Amino acid sequence: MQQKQKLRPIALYSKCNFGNALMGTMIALDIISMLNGIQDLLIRIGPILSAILFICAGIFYAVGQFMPSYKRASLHTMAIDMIIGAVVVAVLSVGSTTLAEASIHLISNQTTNTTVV
Amino acid sequence: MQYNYFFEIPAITLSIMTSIAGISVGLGYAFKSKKLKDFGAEELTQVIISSIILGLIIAFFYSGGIFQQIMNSPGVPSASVSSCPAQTASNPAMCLSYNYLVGSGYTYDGTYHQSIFDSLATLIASLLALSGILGIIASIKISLVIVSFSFSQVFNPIISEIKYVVGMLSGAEISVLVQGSLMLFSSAATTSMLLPVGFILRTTYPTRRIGSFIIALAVSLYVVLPMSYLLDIVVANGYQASYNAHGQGLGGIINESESLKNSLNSASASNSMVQYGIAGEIESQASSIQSMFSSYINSLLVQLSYFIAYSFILPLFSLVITGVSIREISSILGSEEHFDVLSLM
Repeated sequence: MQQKQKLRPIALYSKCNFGNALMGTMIALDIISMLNGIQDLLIRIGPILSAILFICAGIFYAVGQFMPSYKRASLHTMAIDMIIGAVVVAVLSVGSTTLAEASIHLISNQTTNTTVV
Repeated sequence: MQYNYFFEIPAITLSIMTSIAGISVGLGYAFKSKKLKDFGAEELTQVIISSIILGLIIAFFYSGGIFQQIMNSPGVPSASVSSCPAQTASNPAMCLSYNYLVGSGYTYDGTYHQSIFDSLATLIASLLALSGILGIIASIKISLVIVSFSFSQVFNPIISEIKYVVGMLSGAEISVLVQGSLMLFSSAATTSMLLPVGFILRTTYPTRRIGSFIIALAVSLYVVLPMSYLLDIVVANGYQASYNAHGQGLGGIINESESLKNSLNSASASNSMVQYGIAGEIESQASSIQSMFSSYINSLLVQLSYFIAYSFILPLFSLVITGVSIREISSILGSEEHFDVLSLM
């Protein structure tokens, strides 16, 4: 939710600052709205998926405790793999949004009071 | 401050692809799927490459960037313009190209040059005026004692020649107008539409090649095409000091023709038979016009050849350079690169 709120000011700033009704601007605003929607969806999916994988890892680990040793080892390996996968999903899907915001702010600050040619 | 969506769209797109790649890699680890892991690693590689491309384009294109530094460097011939259309104001090469083609003209090496369109229009107007006057003269009949004659046989070949030249010049004018429109389109559409769309398409797997092509198209239209016109300006000014001589040689011919037309009109209006002396005077005037045009026709055809070179040959050269750059840049952008570190995942 906080990620979503952080992105909205940028979109709002974009929408308010550009008063000229150029065709390219209108198309750009539509594209940004669509992309923001997709990004919101992925921000929601990423942590949920990560949580699911963590839970599954826990379940596999717990089940493995009741299994014979050879089964236990494979289930524990699967659990560890799922934990690794969950960490990767969480880091990359959530961190990507932070990276995007930071990039936009950095580039905007670098090119303040200038116009992209 | 003018905010440009070029920053925002590619950044959001790259973050989306990073999320997708991360999900793919994570699921590949979780379920021990090599395909998912490889796909995720490949997408992460492409995200890194796209980020580098984005950074290079921003460094190149933003105000004060490399492109502007190249334009302002001593190696580039300096030419100045008095005004730029709003769409081309941010790109000096585009503004100069537009003014060279259809705008308000430019100053090169201290000499002011009209735009090609203005020069063509002035020459065409002068030729049409002359053609009109000669047409009127050719249609007037003069009566002597028992015979009448007209100058149609004298001036009809000249009128045909003028029609032919005007036809060629009109074609050149249309060509120049089309090129000017292409400049305006490039200014308006490349950074605001083509580049962001190209980035989005390049970021996603199925449309990567199309996206690379569109980015290459945008870069070529925005940089290579106007710079090639800069080369055309240097070439054009290298072998002809000025093409401002639009119709200047025609002034004397038009004046003489007007005088003859007035003489014929007054002779016809008096409704009396023309005396031999006056007829002789009219005949000598007509001969003078014919010989003046015969002397002028060579320089007119030379002017025509220059305008055809400026309107067709040199722009064709520019378009070929632009086409080659599109092909080369798109093959560079669409090439598959692998980072060893990520492939270990």
